[in-house]
Amino acid sequence: MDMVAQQQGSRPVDIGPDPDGALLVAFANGDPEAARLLTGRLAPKVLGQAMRMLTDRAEAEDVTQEAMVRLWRIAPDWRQGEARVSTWLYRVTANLCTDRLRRRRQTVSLDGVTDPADGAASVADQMQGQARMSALSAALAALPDRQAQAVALRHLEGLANPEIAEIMDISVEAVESLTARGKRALAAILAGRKAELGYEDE
Amino acid sequence: MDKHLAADMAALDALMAEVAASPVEAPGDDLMARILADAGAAQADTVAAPASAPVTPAWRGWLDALGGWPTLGGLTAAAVTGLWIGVAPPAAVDDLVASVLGETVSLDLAGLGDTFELEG
Repeated sequence: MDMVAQQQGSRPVDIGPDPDGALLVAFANGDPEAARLLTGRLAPKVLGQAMRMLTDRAEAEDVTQEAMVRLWRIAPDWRQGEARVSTWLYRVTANLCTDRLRRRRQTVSLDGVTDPADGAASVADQMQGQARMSALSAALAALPDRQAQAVALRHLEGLANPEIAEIMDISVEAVESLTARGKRALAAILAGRKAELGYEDE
Repeated sequence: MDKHLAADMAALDALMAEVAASPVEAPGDDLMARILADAGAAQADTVAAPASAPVTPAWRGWLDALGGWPTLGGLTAAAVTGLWIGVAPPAAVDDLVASVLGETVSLDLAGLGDTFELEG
């Protein structure tokens, strides 16, 4: 896919030491320990990224497994020093998540995603917290893929724009533009739901 | 930026900060096992692949055992000759067949005679 092409066609940048890359090469060479070490290091990160975008544990776990399968498959072709494994995984995971969000967009109406259930007062806050997160995920689903990815990488993963630019293989200016447009769209979508989501209307 | 938009943006920033700060439970044993099973399968594929890289069909195995392609040339020539002799036997072959098979030939193997008294 384009990820391989990108990795192979990358510029000669010093990416610094990448223990994950070294482990991936060891994995491709048949080292039985490498898979366990890589899974322990990377799966929690992938799961976290997927959870923040999808707010659905089962879906996030499926994405994690799929992202890791793609990592295992690319291992024999991995060129150490050209890209960081973490950068590559951010990209794969972001793509898998927007694939899922797009499917939701096609099958579920935005309003149907979050219905804070009528519960006891004691769990109301918790429900509202959960509803807020689901609402963000639903709003991300309404965005074009690239905007959703840029916003999520910037504001949910807390990455800096140059790193996002590398992950998305675009310029820093393009990242800024995508993020700004994405945030405006998200704010507009969520504005109508403030009361429902537990924010005071001003 | 108008007042409403500013407020909406602030709410969005607060929401995203909340999501970003929410702890995510670590992957469970089941997920880890699924991932490692995939890894094992992929590793078996990639590590096994170079050993059988040029995929050799079974017939190449016995051809090599016979002596490779040069042998096949000899074999083919012999087979074609045999076919030709069978279909259109030259006179010399007829004579040879007559001389070998056309007459009764008795052989006394190692002087055993009629050891088994088959002739009653």
